Amino acid sequence: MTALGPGGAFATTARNLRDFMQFRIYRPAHLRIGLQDFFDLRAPAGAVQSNSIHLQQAMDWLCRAQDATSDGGVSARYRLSKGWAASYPETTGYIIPTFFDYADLTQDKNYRQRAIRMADWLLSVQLAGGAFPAHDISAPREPRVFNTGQALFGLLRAFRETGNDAYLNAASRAGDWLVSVQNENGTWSRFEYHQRPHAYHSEVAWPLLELFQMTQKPVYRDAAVKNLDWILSLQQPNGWFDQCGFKEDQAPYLHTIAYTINGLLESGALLQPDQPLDNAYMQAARLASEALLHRFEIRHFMAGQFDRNWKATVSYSCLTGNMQTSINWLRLYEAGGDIRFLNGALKLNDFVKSTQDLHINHPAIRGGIKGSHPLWGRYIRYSYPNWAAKFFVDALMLEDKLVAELYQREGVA
Amino acid sequence: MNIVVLCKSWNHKKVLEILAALRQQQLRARGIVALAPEKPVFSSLLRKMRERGAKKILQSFSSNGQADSSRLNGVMPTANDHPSAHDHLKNGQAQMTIAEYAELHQIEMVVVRDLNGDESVAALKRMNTGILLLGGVPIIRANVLAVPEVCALNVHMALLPKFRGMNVAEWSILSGAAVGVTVHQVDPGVDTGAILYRETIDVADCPSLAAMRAKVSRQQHQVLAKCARGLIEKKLSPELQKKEDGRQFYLMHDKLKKIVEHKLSKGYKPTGPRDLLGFFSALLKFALEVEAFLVFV
Repeated sequence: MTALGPGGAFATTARNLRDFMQFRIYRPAHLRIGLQDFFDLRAPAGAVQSNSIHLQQAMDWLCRAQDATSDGGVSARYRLSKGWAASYPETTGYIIPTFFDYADLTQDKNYRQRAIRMADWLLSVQLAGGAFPAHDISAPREPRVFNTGQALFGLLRAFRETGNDAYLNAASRAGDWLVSVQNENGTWSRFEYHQRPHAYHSEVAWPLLELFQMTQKPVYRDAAVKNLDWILSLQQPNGWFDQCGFKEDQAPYLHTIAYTINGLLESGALLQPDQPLDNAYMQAARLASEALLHRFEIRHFMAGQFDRNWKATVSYSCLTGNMQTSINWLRLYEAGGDIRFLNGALKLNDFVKSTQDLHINHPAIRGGIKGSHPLWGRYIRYSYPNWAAKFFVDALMLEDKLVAELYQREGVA
Repeated sequence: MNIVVLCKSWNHKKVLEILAALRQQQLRARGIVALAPEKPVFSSLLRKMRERGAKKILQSFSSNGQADSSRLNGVMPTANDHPSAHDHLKNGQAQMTIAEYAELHQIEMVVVRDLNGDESVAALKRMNTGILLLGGVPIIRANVLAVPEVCALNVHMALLPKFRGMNVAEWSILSGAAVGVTVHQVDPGVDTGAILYRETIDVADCPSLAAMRAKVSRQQHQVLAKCARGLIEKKLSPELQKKEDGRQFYLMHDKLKKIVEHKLSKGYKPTGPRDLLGFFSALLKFALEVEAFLVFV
């Protein structure tokens, strides 16, 4: 690699400069958040608000993201450069369960209606073969394995909640397409990012297992298990998963590492609900999670990218990955009772809460969660992706539930 | 045998407590090697701000390193006699700095920029260190641990090997285990060195976390000094730890500390496996006594 090559210092500097120019720092709200991040003027640990306030603000932001598009889907992100993006099928898929859960928590039917609107929109963008498209819908519609898996979450939940067969039929078509394009060794490489298999496809195997539970068609379970076994073969003794990033030549984002862990963990819990910790997928997830927990606790900071020795390669934090990791830790605590995971998740949640701006007037920033902290970190820079807010809401709801249960067991008021 | 204390230069209370405990055992420290307070270099300040938040960093300025760097060069007290370290701890607060105490008691003190650096190793060698006592320091590397003739000793605020790491007294209570202290030899791992001595502490009379920590802290320095004497007199034999016998714990979040506070407010009694072990040991002892009695009859 040379300084002038595509990945060289010159190109990187030019890209950073271009991104910064698009940041539109002359806008007062942009200037404010830029300065906040430069001086890291977050709420100090322990001074963050209660979860319910942060939750409500994040849900309000997600509602605004849905309303920003007229189709019922959720805008992929708010970009400081160009404003709201078009609706994104992949993440709208997994935002649907979040809205149903929040509707249950608050007993507010508005969120339920919004979730159903999202599911109906998903039906309208499903491709003829059963797949769901990559990118947001402003891009040319090409089928994508990972995105189809994420849409499954929404369709299956919408079916469970409403009993409407249209959702289950769409899910089955999506599942059939996933099975049809799977390689013999259990991987997916066609219709995938960079045409190569990824360890984070565990997050496709998991919804296939859910589809199996609902339809009892073994073909979905077999495809899922085949993929999960391939992912297990990628794990190193230190817990690391090879091929868990988007690209071969780049240290993986915490976002995709956490996807990998989450898919294994949830698959293990589905396949062996009575003794989840005895399950090989769950054990693999636990090994990787312990490595991350140790890194986070020692540094008091969660980096956004890691190398295969779990060494942080960057100084920014990937907030989406933080929240996904928090969910993984909370689920591991729930499954096995190792309270160190709960402890780590509480701190990670506090960190991300401290980065959420609750007071700014700008409606596309207030309550949203940035891609990176600081804003110019490499992951979804200068933007507020909808999936960051989604995982944030999921993590805080799960934290509240588990802490309430723990307090009740210990007799704490 | 020369005893040297390795510490942070601003950790007055802890170090003065160790020195006081040594005096109670008729032992005297040969020297103190202390870490200098960090200077706020702009780049490291910016990094810390990014990692921890600006407000927290600003708060820490007013509390430790900065204040202490001026105190290190402070004016000597005018007392004619040489008061013990206990006299410098009024109401649990350090009334003088480590440097002041060292000068008063003619203990050599060396302030270094890096406890694991060459400067530190050279100072320890020059002092002919026999036993190195760690007084609340970051991880000490093998190059330093190799210097003392006998070993490096640390006192840990929980019963090893089960609870390693940080906030371990709190974690013990949260887990329902007995609270205690362990003196162990230091190896390059985290609290994994051979165990020399363990002592349980009853904290039923501690109504709060602060009270519990104060009680355990008081006791741990006494135990450390006793072990230093035990080592000199060759009365202690180390018991090796297995890594798998324990887990590493980290700083406890306030939401979990709330449970610990609650347990302490109710008069904490352990309910963990250690008690079960005690119960079965007592049962076995009773059975053996009954058997002996029956044989006798």
